[in-house]
Amino acid sequence: MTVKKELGIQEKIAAVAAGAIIISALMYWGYQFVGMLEFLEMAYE
Amino acid sequence: MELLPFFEWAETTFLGYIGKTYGGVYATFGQSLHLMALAVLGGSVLVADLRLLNVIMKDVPSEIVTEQAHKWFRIALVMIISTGIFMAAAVAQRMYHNDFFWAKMSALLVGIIFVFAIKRPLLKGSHADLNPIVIKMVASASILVWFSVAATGRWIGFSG
Amino acid sequence: MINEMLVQFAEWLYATGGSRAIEESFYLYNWIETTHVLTIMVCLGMLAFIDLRMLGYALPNVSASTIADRLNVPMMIGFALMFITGLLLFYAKPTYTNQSIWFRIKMVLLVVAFFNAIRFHRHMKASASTWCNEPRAPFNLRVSAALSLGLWAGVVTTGRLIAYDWYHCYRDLPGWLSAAAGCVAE
Repeated sequence: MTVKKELGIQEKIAAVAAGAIIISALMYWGYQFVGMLEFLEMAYE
Repeated sequence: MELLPFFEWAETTFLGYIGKTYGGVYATFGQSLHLMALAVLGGSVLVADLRLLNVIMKDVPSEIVTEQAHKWFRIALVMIISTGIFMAAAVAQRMYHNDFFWAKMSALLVGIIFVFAIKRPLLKGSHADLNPIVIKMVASASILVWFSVAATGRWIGFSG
Repeated sequence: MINEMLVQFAEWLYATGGSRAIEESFYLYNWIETTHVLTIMVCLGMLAFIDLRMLGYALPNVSASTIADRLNVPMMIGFALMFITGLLLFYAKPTYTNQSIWFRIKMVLLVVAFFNAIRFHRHMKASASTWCNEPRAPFNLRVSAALSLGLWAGVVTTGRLIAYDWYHCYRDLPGWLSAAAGCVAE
């Protein structure tokens, strides 16, 4: 399979949007989990 | 823009009244149908995106799989939004003050725009002409965004 | 008799440390439940596509046995997760759940769905080569597929209703319902 070197404009937009979604989703859930860990620590104190 | 009056109004509508007054109708036509639509929506997202990620059905052309999955995605989306509006109307003022509700609405909006404005137009033609890394990024983003919509939805019920 | 034994078993389970730990942990319990609900997308999502294929409503131009075979693996992974988290949810609230009429109906529906799935697979294996490229499966397999969708819709509905205590033992219930829900004399 040959991979094109140049991305089309549509592919560029899709890559940026997908990247932004992946990063935001991971950050959101990461933030939620950190909040839970802090809560757990407080519960044990 | 002040949205609270809209949420107050939603509870006074016929839909809000039914959901508030009849717990059985709320639980079956609201919640249960919402979950059945979630099954179809989840199925259509995973069938298409796991195919694009080359995890399942590698022997079936991805163009056919994504086209068919999208047909059911649209049906499930209409069903899940209708039942969602019914559920939210009954408890609209609580929704207004719930962080997970707004997280879910944001994720839903992003998901809908992503699917109809970016993913569909991109996958319309032959997938062999597209960069495989871009395809995999789009598929991963789609799975993440729809699982986030579902998970934040479940957490609405856990928080206040 | 059987209801008394189930109550004893549920009370014993309730008294174990793990059960208390899960129910009392806000995050642990809610994440187990979230996982249980989200696996609907994996397990029932795949199941819906297999059944819809048999009925001719999804992917009619792809071989039915290919669909059933390829989607079976993710479906079973989803089912395993659903089953484990379901057990944990019961473990966390054994006394309440045991006496929920919805939980009991759900278990019956699950058993029927299990036998329906076995019947479906047997008929499918025996005859798939003759029709799998047709847009619709033969009548008796379509019956199984429709039944499967209906049974799982029932499982989802009764599962959701476990959260509601409209017919719990502390309510005023007619005798048959009280027995069906597993209520015992105090």
